[in-house]
Amino acid sequence: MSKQNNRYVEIVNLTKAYPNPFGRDIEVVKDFNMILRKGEIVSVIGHSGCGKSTVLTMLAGLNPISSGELAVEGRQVVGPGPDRAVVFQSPCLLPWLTTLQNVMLGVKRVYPHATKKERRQICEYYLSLAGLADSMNKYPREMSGGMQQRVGIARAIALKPQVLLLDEPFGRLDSLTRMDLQDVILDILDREKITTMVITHDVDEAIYMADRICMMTNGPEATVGQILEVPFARPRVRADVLDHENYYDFRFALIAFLEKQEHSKDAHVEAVKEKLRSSPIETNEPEVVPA
Amino acid sequence: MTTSHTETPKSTTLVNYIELWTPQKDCLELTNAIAIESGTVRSVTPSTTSATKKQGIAGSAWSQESPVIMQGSSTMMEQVASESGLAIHGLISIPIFREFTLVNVLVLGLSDANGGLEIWTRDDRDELSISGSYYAGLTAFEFISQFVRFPKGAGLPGSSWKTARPKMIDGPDKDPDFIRSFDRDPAHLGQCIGLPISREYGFPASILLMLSDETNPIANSIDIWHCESDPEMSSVRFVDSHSGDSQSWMQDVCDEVAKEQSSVFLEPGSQQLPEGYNCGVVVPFFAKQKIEDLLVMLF
Repeated sequence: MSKQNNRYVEIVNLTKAYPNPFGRDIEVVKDFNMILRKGEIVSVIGHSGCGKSTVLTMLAGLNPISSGELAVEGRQVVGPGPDRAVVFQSPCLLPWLTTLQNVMLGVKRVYPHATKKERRQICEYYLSLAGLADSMNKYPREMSGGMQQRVGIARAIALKPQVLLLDEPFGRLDSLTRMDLQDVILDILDREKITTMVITHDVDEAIYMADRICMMTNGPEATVGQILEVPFARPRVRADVLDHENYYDFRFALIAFLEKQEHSKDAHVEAVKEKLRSSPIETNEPEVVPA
Repeated sequence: MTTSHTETPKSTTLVNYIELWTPQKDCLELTNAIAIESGTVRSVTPSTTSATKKQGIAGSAWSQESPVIMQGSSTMMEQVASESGLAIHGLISIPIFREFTLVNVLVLGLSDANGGLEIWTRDDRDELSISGSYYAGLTAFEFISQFVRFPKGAGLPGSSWKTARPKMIDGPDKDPDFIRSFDRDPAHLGQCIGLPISREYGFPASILLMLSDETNPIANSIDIWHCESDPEMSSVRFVDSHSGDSQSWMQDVCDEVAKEQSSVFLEPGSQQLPEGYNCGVVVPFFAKQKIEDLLVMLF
């Protein structure tokens, strides 16, 4: 693998701070470091509100960074772009457009020189990969939540992104639909080799989907606690993964991490508050020099 | 071969054998060797007292500029065991540098106490992963650790890397900087120490983690002292310690380290040893040329 593919996505000392009228800016994410190889799938797991989605939206270019560096294939991320597609918890389809038309919206922007027929073929191909070959002319109101999310996935992948960002994509779905969609996505990713970041709360989902799991510490000043390499072979077969002799070792490591974060949450918040209290208020006002 | 005996009413420690090697021209010379067993401390006279680069475990650490761990069965371990009269379950050699210059190699022998040693080195993602290890009573911890990576600043290894300073944790189960769980193992970790091992300050070749069981500490007393060196490096002022201890003998030890500019072995009977201890070793960690921290192990 080339050096660039070895460091396909580079996140270095990524920090997001919000203004604090009473003192120093509050850093919700601080010094987050992670390198993704090309085609790798990374799950990001951590407690609610720790800053997982903040990291994802910064990588998507939807949320400006405060400091640090973000680059995809050696190019600095300066804003949103079709090279990075996002699937959110809610697919937010346009209700007056059919499934095919919803996917076509992005395809038109990304393939401006393709013929109408070619664009349609692209949409149909990715919709069929998402298991929607028979639902291309349906409107969102005619589909279940799971089917709508399939459209959202097809819409993102049809853009042929270099990086796919999934922000709790199955969070609103029942268990069976969730497992079904996990397999749909893994099947597509195995074919397309798209570098992917998945934000999730679900330890089993994190293990099943990912090559690596990034465990985030509590916010504020959330950062990478540790990264766990998942050695299970691809393509993943759910029964094989669940039956693997070490599956529960990995599961235990994740749960133990989350439990420890839960237990140290209050102390961490107090420590950050104390740090903020003891920091001088930074203002842009010029220093007054007595006459 | 033993030369002296002294009683120490202490528990079995993870470290039961110490050798201190000092560079002399183009080789290392053994300056001290001591065995600690069942409350006794005794000097040892090994048959090998010098080592060239790459020779033996001390020469390997010098050559690799990183700690070297030896376990299982090896001629060298058998030789150390035979000469010290101890059961040696593992050996580690730790090179100590002062900005490009080797000042010592510390070799530690390990008893059968529960605990662990881990060498964390940077990979091509700028993450730390384990490149060498020794574990006792930590089977589940050992298994999961081979899959764990720490970026700069994460966990105890990443924290030591970021600050380029030794760091000690007591009670890792409650400390947020100790990330991994050891709940499923017989060993219950008590003291954990991260030591940045670097030839060039700020660019550690590796981070050494020493992990000990609550009932069997690494040493009878282990501490990290924070110091200030004057610009001429002629004096080292004790500032404070991880344990919070601050006693007059500590400055005497700092003065000795400042004089030697290398590790100091506190031999049995040494005036600098505090009451209740029979030997010790004080290892300096340098920020460029200046001594910033001391690792102090007493037995």
